[in-house]
Amino acid sequence: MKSPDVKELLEDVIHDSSFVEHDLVSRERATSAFRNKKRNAFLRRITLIAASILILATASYFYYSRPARMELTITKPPQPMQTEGPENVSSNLLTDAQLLAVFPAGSCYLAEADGRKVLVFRDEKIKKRYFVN
Amino acid sequence: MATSLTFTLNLEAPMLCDPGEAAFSGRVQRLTRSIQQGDESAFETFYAEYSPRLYRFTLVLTAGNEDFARELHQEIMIKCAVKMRVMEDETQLWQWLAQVARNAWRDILRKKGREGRCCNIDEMAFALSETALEDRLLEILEAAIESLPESEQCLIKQIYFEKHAQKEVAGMTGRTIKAIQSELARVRKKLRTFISKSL
Repeated sequence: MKSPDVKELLEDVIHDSSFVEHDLVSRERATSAFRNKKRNAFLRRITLIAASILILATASYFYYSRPARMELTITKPPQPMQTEGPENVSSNLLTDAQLLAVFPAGSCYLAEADGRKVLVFRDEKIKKRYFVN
Repeated sequence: MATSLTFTLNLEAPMLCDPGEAAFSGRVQRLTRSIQQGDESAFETFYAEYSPRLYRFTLVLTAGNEDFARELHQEIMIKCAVKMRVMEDETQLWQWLAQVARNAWRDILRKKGREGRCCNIDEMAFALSETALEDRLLEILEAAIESLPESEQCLIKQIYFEKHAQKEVAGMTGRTIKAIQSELARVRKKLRTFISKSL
């Protein structure tokens, strides 16, 4: 007996029609299990992705909705108003001599009335030339 | 019977010096990888190729008990569908399948709570070589053929060894094709029963 021929006979003997029926059922169940596994793997992947997104979204939400941090800024306290004092009579103010030098020589003089210095013009025309009112 | 399982363990991986063999190993790797990645057509290819081989294997493991063999076969194929891993070559794949079969068989026995007429589970570890299993089956088949009456032996010889068509045999013997087919089916069943009893 040739080996391939015996093998063929063995195939026919063992895999008869009842085996073919069984094999069809087995194939169907195995394929169904295969599909289930594939579907479960897909669902697992989707769940994993969804969970990751959810975690990221939650983390972002808590990160951005937390109370804003108090900004500590150091600001200079307002400077106290400068009071009059001999050293604070700044250089912006004119001295009596400088004031008198602004006008034509001899056209005016400084007089003191009620404790205040008053510029007195000898000639009204000259005064009008320098002052509107 | 359990004690009749005297196969030699052939676990060594084949030498991959033959390019054809290497290509076959590459094919096993590709096939198993595709299955693992969820390719259904790859699983169908695997099923078509390995289902008959695994059934023969389960038939030997269950000592010819066809009901158990079929239950076990189905269990193995389902486990393959769910737990397939990438295998380097045919040897590795067959070893894994044998391992799956052994575990599934143990589960079935535990579930049924009976030993039945089956192999000792530890002895089955020695039945891992597919070649050894097939040799054993062929040996039994030859003995089964010899046990047949002359006329039945003649029919088998004409159909399987002399490769005559059923129509030719019908013409030679003066019988109808239907009668030849019917007798052939009966003889095959007889042989199957002989094999089951001998395992």
